[in-house]
Amino acid sequence: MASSPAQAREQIRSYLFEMLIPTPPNAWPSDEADLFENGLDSLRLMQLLTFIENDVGVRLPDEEVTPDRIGSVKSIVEWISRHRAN
Amino acid sequence: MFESLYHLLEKAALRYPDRPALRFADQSLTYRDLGDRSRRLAALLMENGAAPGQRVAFSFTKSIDAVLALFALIRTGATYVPLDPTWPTERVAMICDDAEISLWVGSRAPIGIKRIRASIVSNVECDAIALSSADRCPPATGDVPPPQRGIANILFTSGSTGRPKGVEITTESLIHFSGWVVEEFELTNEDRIANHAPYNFDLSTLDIFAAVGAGATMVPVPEKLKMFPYQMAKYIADHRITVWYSVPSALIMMQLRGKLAEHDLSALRHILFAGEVMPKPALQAIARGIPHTEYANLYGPTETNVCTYHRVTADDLACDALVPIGRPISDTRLWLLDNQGNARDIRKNGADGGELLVAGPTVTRGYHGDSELTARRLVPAPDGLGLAYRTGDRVHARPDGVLLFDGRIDRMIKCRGHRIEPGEIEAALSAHHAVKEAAVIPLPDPVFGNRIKACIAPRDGATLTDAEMIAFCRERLPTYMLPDLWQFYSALPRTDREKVDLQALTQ
Repeated sequence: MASSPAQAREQIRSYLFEMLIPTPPNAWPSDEADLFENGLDSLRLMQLLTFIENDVGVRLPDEEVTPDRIGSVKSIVEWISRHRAN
Repeated sequence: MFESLYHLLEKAALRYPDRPALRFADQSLTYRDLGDRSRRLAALLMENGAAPGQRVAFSFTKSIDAVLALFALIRTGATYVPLDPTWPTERVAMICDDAEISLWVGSRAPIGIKRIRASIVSNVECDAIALSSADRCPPATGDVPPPQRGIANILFTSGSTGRPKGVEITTESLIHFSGWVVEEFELTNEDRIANHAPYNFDLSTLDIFAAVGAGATMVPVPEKLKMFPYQMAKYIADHRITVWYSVPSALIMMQLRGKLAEHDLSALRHILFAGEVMPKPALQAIARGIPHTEYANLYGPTETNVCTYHRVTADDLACDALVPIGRPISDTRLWLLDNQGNARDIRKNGADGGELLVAGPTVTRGYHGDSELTARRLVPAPDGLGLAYRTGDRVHARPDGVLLFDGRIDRMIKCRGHRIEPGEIEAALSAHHAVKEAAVIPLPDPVFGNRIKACIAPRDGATLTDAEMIAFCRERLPTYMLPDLWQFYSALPRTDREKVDLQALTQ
């Protein structure tokens, strides 16, 4: 069962800033912040995609994984939402 | 063979003036343009202090300006010191100090680096001299003969003492190596050679200098695409790349998430990989995805550039044995050091294995400003001809003389092709006031070689979190050195001899 957009946002933020790029709670970047400038690299991106597939419950086609879509929490959530709508 | 690196470009500009030297995204540059513009830029650099014997910071993401600046610097005879633009300021400042750098050329300004006196920045927003202003410079007069045997560049790699160490790469090494590549892989001016590795990585010297040596087209891979396997495979197809050279993890990512079958990769003649062990199952899967291409494993620590290689055969792909590191490249001599420190002939004592010792034209002259480390790692060659580099890699030879890699004799970790000294990360962790003791260990990963686990014992009464530690480390270490996993202990486990029990930490 796929998460709702609000749930997906929370799941992705927690995974990113608690697991992938542990960040003190008062210093979590905004939803618009550039994730590449906040420590997202190739290894962590692969882990994030696996997390979105397994835990958020949305299978994202490889060809759609682009810098625009994965650049911020906001763009990831929008992308996931569009996918669910289709 | 070419006399100097700049002659590579001069000759290509004379022979193939209208051929594309460089294609990047939707831009391109002919060899005539690359020659002319880098010559004018060299004049600007010389006005700002670039000269033989001087070291100049070179801090670029992939761009046409980067290649222009690189050849301009080579023309001035200065030594270029590639610095990754994403490295933290503290690390860059340390390197600029150690290399005594006062001139900076880059795609970003040297913010916060005090010792830089002049900077030339290619991004006009940075309120500095744009590289394009070089077009307005008068043509350089007279022919500045580049030094024949100088240090071409210094590549800084992880240092076990907590300070990066600078490997001095000679002009001779790069000329010899690029000449060997052009011959071995029969490169021509029809080739299009991708440049995937960053400039501070020795792999990039093949992409740049072998391309120019052959009059081929360099095709830098935009930095952001490198994290996106499908986009990277598409880039190879769109640009009709004929030669690809990267660390194994980039290829493995493309195989896993690049949908190789959807792309027309028919132009690819050679896939070369280096930097860490390519797992055989991964190579087999890649070769099923791109079946018509020839594969080769190139081996060598930064200190030797590439010193051995192995062309992958159908027999290799059909068996499960490790991918060999192969045989020496031209004019390179190899020995094995046994447990007593005696140099052995590989052909006679290969099966016993030992630490690989390398001598030849691609071997470094030493570590910048560190004669003690240089003396430890560069020892008199057993045949009496110059110095040989102790690689720290354990290898053994098959009966046919082909070498196989068996691991390290020390704790160095390979992660996405980067070499990481646990000591450098441990030094960064220990700099935190609440850390009593820290140890770093590798955890094997099927795609990325290794992941890094940090094991920390806080001082009595202190509590630490992974979030706090990672924020602290990001000020000090490049992203690829940040630990992926964190574990906190009341005290680190000990062996019988009271050393930290690294084996127990893997549990």
